[in-house]
Amino acid sequence: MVGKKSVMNRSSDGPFVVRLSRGVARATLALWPLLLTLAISTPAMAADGVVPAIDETERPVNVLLLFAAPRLTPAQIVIDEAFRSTLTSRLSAPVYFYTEYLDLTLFQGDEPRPELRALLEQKYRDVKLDLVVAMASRALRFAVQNRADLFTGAPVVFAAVDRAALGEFALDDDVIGIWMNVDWAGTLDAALRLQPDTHRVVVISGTSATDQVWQAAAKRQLETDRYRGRVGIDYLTDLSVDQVLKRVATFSKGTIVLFGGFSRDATSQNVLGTEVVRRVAASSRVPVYGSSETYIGGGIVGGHVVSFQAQGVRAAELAARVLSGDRPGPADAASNLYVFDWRQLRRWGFDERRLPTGSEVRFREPSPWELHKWPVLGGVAVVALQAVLIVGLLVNRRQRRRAQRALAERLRFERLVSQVSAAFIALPAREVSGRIEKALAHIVEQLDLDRAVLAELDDRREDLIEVTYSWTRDGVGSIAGPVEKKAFPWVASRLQAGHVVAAARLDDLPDSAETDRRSLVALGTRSFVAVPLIIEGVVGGALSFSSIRVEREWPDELAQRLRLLAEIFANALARRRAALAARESEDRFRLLADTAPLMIWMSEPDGRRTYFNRRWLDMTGRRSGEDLADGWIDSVNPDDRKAAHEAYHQAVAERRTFTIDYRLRRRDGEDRWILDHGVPRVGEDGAFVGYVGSVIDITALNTALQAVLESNALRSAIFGSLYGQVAAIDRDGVIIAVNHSWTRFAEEGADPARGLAAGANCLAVWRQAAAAGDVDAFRAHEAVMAILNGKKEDARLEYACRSQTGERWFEMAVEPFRRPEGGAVISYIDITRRRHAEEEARRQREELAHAQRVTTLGELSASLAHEINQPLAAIVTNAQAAIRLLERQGVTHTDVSEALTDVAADARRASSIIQRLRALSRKEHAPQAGLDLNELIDDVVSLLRHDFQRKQIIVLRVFDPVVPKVAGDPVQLQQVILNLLVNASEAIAHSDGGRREVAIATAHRTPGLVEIAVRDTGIGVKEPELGRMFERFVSTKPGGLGMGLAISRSIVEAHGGRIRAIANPDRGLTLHVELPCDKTIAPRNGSPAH
Amino acid sequence: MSLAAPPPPLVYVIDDDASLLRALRRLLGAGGFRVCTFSSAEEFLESTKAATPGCLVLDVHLGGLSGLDLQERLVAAGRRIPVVFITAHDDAVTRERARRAGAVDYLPKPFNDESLIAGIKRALGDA
Repeated sequence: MVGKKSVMNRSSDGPFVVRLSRGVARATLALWPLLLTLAISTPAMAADGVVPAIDETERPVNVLLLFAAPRLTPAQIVIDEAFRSTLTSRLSAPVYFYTEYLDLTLFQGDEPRPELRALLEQKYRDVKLDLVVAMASRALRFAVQNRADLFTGAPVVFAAVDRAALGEFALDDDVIGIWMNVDWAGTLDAALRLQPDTHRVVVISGTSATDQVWQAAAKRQLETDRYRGRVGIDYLTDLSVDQVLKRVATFSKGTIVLFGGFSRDATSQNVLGTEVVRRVAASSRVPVYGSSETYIGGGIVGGHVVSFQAQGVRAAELAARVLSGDRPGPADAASNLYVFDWRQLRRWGFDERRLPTGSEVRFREPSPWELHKWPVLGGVAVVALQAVLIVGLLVNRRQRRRAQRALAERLRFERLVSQVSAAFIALPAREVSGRIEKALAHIVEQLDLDRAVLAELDDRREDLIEVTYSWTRDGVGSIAGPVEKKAFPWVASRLQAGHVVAAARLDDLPDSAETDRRSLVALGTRSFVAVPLIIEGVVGGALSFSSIRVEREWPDELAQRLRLLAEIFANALARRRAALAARESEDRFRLLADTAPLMIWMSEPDGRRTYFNRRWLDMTGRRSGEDLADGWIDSVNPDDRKAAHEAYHQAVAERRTFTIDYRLRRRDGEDRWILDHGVPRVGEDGAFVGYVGSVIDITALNTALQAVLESNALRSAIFGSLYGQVAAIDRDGVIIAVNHSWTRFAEEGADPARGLAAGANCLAVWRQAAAAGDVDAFRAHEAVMAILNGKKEDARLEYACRSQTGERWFEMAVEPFRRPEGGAVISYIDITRRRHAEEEARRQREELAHAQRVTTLGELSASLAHEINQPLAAIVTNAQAAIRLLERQGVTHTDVSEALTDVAADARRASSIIQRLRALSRKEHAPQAGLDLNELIDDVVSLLRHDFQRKQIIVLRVFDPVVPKVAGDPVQLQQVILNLLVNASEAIAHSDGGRREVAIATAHRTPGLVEIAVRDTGIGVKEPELGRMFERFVSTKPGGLGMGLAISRSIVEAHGGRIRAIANPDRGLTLHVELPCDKTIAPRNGSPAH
Repeated sequence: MSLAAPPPPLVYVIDDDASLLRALRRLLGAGGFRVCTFSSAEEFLESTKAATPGCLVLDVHLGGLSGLDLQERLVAAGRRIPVVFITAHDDAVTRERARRAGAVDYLPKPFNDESLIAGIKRALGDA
């Protein structure tokens, strides 16, 4: 049974613990601290998800047990063990039990502390849980509420859940389990059967949330018409334990106590219900009843108790079905039993016959073994004395032969019993088996019987009884192996109830034992006696003797003696079982320790090590003895020896938990960095018994850590040495890190965020400065927010700041901090030199443009002169006409007035032309926002009107009337238009014949862009010149300097646009200019923002 | 000089500048001439009024048919009409062309009223 499966457990601290059956728990207590240490080991290990190696190829089943309480209460221990052992036995796959104590009872409400919840989330994120088991209503509530987040996909099975405590809380279809019914009514009914004259009932319960569930159940069940008027019911709920004890001592006859859940008293003291009930029962002057099986044996009379054993078993059975894919509904478990304490029944003088049918009476009577213990111990001497008395009796009463024979038999048997007892008292467990057989043989011989059988109940097969020892006289058929209970139903039930069964003749058996009779006949039995074998308080088998050759009597004294014998055997068997279990558990521990993925040691209180597991020995390559005591220090690297030894012994002297790291020399001579973690062990009595330690090899981890440190150092070096000022911020704008340059930055002034120390929130600083009117701060804030919001992948902005060293220019660049938590990296670079270089280039470009403009205007001077002369001619003529009119008689003022009006208009006309010319020839000009391209073109066309006219060229203007405004330098843009129109007119002038037409169009077809197209019907340009025509000194026309288009391109590009030439399909060329629309934010500081 | 008042001599003015055209009408009107104005050579050619003898004050650079072209066209058509050229675009080439074509006068804009009237009178005298 053991060894077939690996039963592992991870509790809240993560340890894996071998769960032992009840009988052997005590034997292994001493080992538990060690097992606990396995988990405490290191966080790194837990994070790596190290799990013990499993031999089975079958995938283990991961089961998480959730307890609401902060620790195991007696009831929970029972349910926990029943559940684990049942589930383990039902599944073929290995089962990992993870256990969590939610501490819910320590807090109000159903939510555990947030840290615990976070811990759970982290712990089970990577665990594929197959099942979550919730014990009690609050754990269930937690499991259901959090399963989506914490235990995704795992079905939930519950046990010990009071349906009423769950209230209206809805359960999903895949949440099933066993309801717990705290049957106060059933218990009270049973009490009233025993004590019909009861007139007052006092219900005692504690103050914790769990206790209140019990109390609520009591009120629900007891405050009904059924009891009203018959008994008065009081509740003692808000008292300390001491107060409760005082009160129960005052109760008088006619009162009974019902004891319920009690895990915390009114002073908020956490207590054990089983302890409290023991004290209450001891102090009480009236009988105490209870509704939990765990209270039985603690001094209560009994009751219709919740069997947590049954709860655990049933829940595990459900769980097994769920895990196999079945989906049963929640079950109302018939998990309540009528259980009573025989001693209490006797104490209060209750009539056992008044118990409800099906009641189980425990602790029925002091066992013969207990009664006869001392006589038996002194057995041999006493028997000798008896023998003398009996011999005397025989001499005096010879005539009573039958009595004689009986007495002789009794004498033989007494001797036999004392021999057997003496033999068994100090018998080592391993010799028990052989000695039982010998004893059976001896009894058969001595009592002149034919067959002796010792049979034990099988835990796993309730329908079978296993014949474990038997002795048969020669010539009689033997019995071995399992016997079906149903072959002996009557005998089995009598034995189960603790009775001795004897039949001198099979005919003496009652009619209801017909089946048994037939089975006995089949075995050849003519006469038999069977005694229950009570092992650790429960019927665990039977001892039976039979006669086959003859029928014989089984006197009562014999039966009683057989009972004694059975008790001796039972005692030996119990010891043997305990020893087996202990060895088994030690084997299990060894197996676990040896297969654990880490090294383990144990020590004495003085620190001398007494145990190393296989992994340690494999590591050091030493024989098991060599590392013991302080020998292990020789396996440590000599350089670390002294420090490790001192640190170890100092920790041991202070009896504190320690973690030391040192290099352990591996068997191949290689040093391995290890982490040695020791925890003090405490024995059963709370005394310090030494240390248990776990050791892990962290060499790989160290190497990895080293690599991380190096790469961090490298990164930090790069970061620190950056010329620019760099800061990393989190998604809230808080500065996480800055480089050296940044910290020196504060002196430069300007951006209020610069020079802020890590921890400061730069967004807040910018917001504040922006509110105070700092435009740069506003822009910086916008740029960083755009990155943090993910709206932009990078953001750049330039601005100037004045410092003592003059005007400096900075470029601020913001990029996303590419990590899960988000954030941004901000850097500032001093771009003053670049800026100056750009300024210089721009100045040169403007000079060149100006020169080109003046040249072009010079070339146009004749036409321009015409344009000016025209109005001047009109002015002069008008003026002279006016004079003549005034000199003449009869002239109306109207004539003169009209002439003068025309004069003024023409003067304005001349003036505006001169202004345009002046504008175009000026060197200084400024960019403006909101420029209307159509107007700019009109101005240029008006200057060129005469030139086109002279060349007999028709100019078509195709304007988009609502073309968006552009931002830029109007003079430069007009220069571009001028150049394009002049080029077009010249291209036509050089052509021969055909249409002479220039079309200039504006359009807005693409969002954000404005287009100008100048189409001519001139001589055109062919490839490859088409591609080169924007280069300097490339001219396609005779006598051209080749500057116009080159300058036009530089102007257009400086405005963020582009220019290209396309040959028309018929004739001539079209020049396309694209310019960005005005973005309303004007470039600052006298320069385009590019 | 004349005893009886002869009908005022007719002066045809062709210029594409409307303002100048109005100014010339006022000036020449005040100077005692009958004035007939046209804003283009084509308009003049189509006009029946142009059949009346007179002289022509002709802008060299007109939209469409230029002044010089008109003069050549008239010569070619056998119409001998004296021409006083006016121009806002004075250059040697134009001046020479005008002279060769037999222009009575050639006046760069802006011109003096007396020069113009003298030119017109000379042209009318030629007529």
